Order: sequence, then structure tokens, then C-alpha cells
Amino acid sequence: MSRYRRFFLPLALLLPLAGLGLIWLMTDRESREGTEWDVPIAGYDPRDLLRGHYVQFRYDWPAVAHEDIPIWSASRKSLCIRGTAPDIDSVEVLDISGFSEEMESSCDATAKANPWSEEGDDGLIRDRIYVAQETGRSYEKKLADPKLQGIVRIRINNKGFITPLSLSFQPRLDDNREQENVQ
Amino acid sequence: MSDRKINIWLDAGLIDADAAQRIREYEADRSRPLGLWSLIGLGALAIGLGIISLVAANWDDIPGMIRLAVHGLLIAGLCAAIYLLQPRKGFLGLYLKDVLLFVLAVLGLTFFGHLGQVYQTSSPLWQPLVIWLLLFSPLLLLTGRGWLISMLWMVGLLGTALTYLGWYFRQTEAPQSFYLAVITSMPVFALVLAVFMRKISARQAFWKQIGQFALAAFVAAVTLKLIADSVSAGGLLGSEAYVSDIAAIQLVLWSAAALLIYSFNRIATGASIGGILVAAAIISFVSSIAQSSEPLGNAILFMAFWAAVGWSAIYSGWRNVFQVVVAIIALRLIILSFQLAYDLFSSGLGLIIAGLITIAIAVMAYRVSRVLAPTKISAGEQDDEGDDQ
Repeated sequence: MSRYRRFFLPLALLLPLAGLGLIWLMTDRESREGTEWDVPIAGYDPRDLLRGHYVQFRYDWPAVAHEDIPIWSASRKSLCIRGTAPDIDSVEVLDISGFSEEMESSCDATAKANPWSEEGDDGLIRDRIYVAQETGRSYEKKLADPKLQGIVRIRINNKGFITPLSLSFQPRLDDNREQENVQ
Repeated sequence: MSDRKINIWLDAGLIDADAAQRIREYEADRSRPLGLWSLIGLGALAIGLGIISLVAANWDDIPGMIRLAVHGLLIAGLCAAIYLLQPRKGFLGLYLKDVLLFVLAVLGLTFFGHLGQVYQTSSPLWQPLVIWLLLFSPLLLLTGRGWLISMLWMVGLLGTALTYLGWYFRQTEAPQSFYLAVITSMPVFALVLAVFMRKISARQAFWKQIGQFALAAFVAAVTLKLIADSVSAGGLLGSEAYVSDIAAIQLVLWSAAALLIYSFNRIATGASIGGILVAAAIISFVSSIAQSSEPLGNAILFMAFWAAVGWSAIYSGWRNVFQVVVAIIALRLIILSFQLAYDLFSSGLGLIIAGLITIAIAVMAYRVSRVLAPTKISAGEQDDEGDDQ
């Protein structure tokens, strides 16, 4: 028993401490990697606005038709983002299966759907951002305001997975286009 | 103990006045101020809930790093407490240490979720579970003493295996049979470990519990599989292509495990556990190959497996298990009689026959369990050996 106490028990107690500390460190380091981008959001479903304490929204990637956005992670497609962070100039759908490292290196960032995130395979189409309980109502109001354009700041890490960081609003510029759509 | 019973026994002449007095004194000595303790417990619960509410209400205002640091410090503090309590015997060393160990392990598991919340990361559930198992298993298995820890560990192991299987089926189009057979055999591996460790460890009761939980999980899983096989072709996996391969590999794995267990433990218990494993392996294999929707065949396979469990119970004297076995086989027979009489239902005759058979089975099951059941073993030793239901 004394050998057990002197040798094995401290090891068994230190193992979870060291392991959890290491994982914390790795998660922290990983969270600083990657680049941050501003993406306009659109097409949110008002009924889904605040389920719990998060806002659900749709990405409105510049210059990409919604049908083209890869939804199933196994389709081996990703979004190629060009621009200078955080401003996106253009986005195009990239087919990774036809191996094209050159193409990928010409992108400033590539984003993939993270199949085990909350949104699953739809991670490039919609996402959610967690907000504090008190600020939820003001976000809800602004999102419903047709004069305001929501912009979400995202981080794309080195694996290509997206993390929404914050939500901001600016006056909508393309009012004309909205009216055209209505007609 | 109420005085009422003692007075009844006294009046019936079962005990004399001296004995009644001695019983009263003994019970008075043993009585605990239950009311006081429950009030103290209630107070402690209120304080705990209040602290949780305070933290939860201000969750957003507390910076993530501070929350994580407090979480980490709590874990470190519990580790220190467990280290200090280890040499103690009695209440502190046995019960309090197990409770602290449980809280530590749960805090360790929630740390992964907390990290995910602060850093907004997400990963498949099995990944943090596997890391948790790797980090905490040595501590839980080296230090645990009671059912709190043995159950937590088994739940962790089975939960990891299940979430992994769920993820694996989503990831891949063509699952590997060997892989699936190994993952689904986790309870068997835990059982082998428990039987082996019970021989060499000083904490026999703890390893016995691990073995019991593993055996219970195994028997439940095999039962579920046999039921699923009879409900739909392909059984639990829903695909006929792999099931016979998987069952064949399981046949080999489980038979090897049975052999190992018997060689570790050449007494009745070892033979009983080995017998259940081999019977399960063979019956599950036959069921997977047959892929039949015939009610009679499936019922025979189901009852054959439970008969094997019943034989093991008789062989090792697990009284409670045997009663459960009789009840389950009787229930299956009753279901079968309804399944077979289904066509006659319109005439009402089927219902009458099924009812008669039900009564006959109930009477027979009662007789069987009275005649064959292992006798009660005096309390204290082997009171709940193999109590797997």
C-alpha cells in the first residue's frame, strides 16, 4: 500500500491535471490561429432567431449563388475566399477532389463545413452565434430591421473550419436589389 | 423499527419479554437523529443550489478565462484532497473519498464542454469522452471503492463506445467488420479485466462490481440484439451485409475471453461467466446467420440464451439472477403464444388459448423458480453475486 501511495497515486492524480492543462493550452493556441473575415448575413428565419441564447443566421457569401455552396462535407468541396482580411473580395466554390493545391494556394483562406458542429453539414450556409441573454433582444430587433445589414466576423482556422466571433450591423447599401427581389 | 412489531411478536410468543427489551435497547442505540440530518442536508442543498444559481446568473459577466481557471483550480483542489484522504480508513477514507473522486471525474468531463463553450469549438462527442477515459481511468480504477465509481467508469466506457459507433456510421459508407466487433465487445473486455484484477487487487468488492456491471451490460446488449434480429433483417445495424462477419469475429473474441476468464478463475463463477459468454457468442452468431423473421425460431434463440444465463445462475448460486431469468423466459413464452395465436384472434379462440397458456406458464415458472432456484446464502457473503438485472 505504501508503494502504491508513494508512486502510483500521485501519477494517477497528475495525469488528468496535466492532460486537461495540455488540452486547454492546445485549444487556446488553436483559437488564435487562422484569419478573421467579415461576412454579410441574410435570409435568417425569424422563428429561429433566439432559441436559447444564440442567433441563427445565413451566410450571404459575396458573389456565390446559394445553390452552389457545398453542403455535405463528404463532397470534398470548400469555399475559396480571396481578399485582404477581414474584407472579402470574392468567393468561389473549390472542388478539392480534383486535387488542386495550386488553386488552393491562390486563395487567401479556404472554408469547409465542420460536420460535427451544431449546424452539421450546413456549416457553410448557416451558423449561430452565442449572445448574452440581455443583449439578445436588441440583436433580434436589429436583425428584423430591413434598413440594417448584419455582418458577422468569423475566424477560419488552419483546418478550414469556421467559428463566428461577433455580430455587427451597418446601414444596408443595396436597397434597390432588395426591392427588385420583392417585385 | 417500530414497537408495534415487537409487541405483536411478544404477544404471539415468538420472543420473551427479555428479548423484546434487548431489541428495544439495541434499536435505540442504533437510531440516528434522521430529522436533524435531513434538515442539515436540506440546508446544504439550498446553499449548493444558491451558489450554482449565482454563478449561472452571472455566467456571461465572468470572463471565460477566469471561469476556466476556477474550474481547473477546483479539479486540482479535489486531487489534493483525494491524495490526503487516501491513507485514511473509515468514513473519510472510504465514502468521502469516493464521492470526491466522483465529483472530480464529473468536473473533468465538464471541463471539455466548458472549453468548447469559451473557445466556441466543436468536435464529435466521442473524442472528449475517449480523452476523459484515458486521463481518468487509472485514477478511478486504482482508487475507487464503491458502486459510485464502478458505475461511473462503466457508463463512461459504454457511452464512449456508443457515441463512437454513432459517429463511425455517419462517417463511413463501408464499416469495417473487425472494428465494429471489437468496439461492441467492450463490455467483454471490461469483464475480463474485472475478473483478472479481482484476483490480484486488494479491493475485491470494487472489481466485483465492475464485473457485475460489465456482465449486466453484456447480457442486456445481447438480449437487445436478439430482439432486434427478430424485428428487422440486419438487426441493430440495419444492414445484412456485415452482421454475420461481425458475429463471426465476436464468436472468436468472446470464446477467447471465456477461456481467459475460466483460466483466471477456475471456480464456479469463472465457469458461469465463461458459459454465458460462449452461449451468447454462439446464439448471436446463429441469429445473425439465420436472419429469420420466424417467431418460433427467434423465440427459441432468445430463450436458449436466457436458459444459458439461468444455468450459470444455478451453477454459481446466483439466486436473484435465476428469478429474473425465469421471469424473462416466461414473459418471452407468453409473447410467443400471442405471436403464434395471432391468426386465430378474429375467432376469439386464439385469445382464449393464449390466455390459458399464459396462466399455465405463470404457474410453471413459479414452480420452477421454487424447485430449481439456488438457496439463499446467508447475508454478508455473496449476497448479490452476479446480480445482473
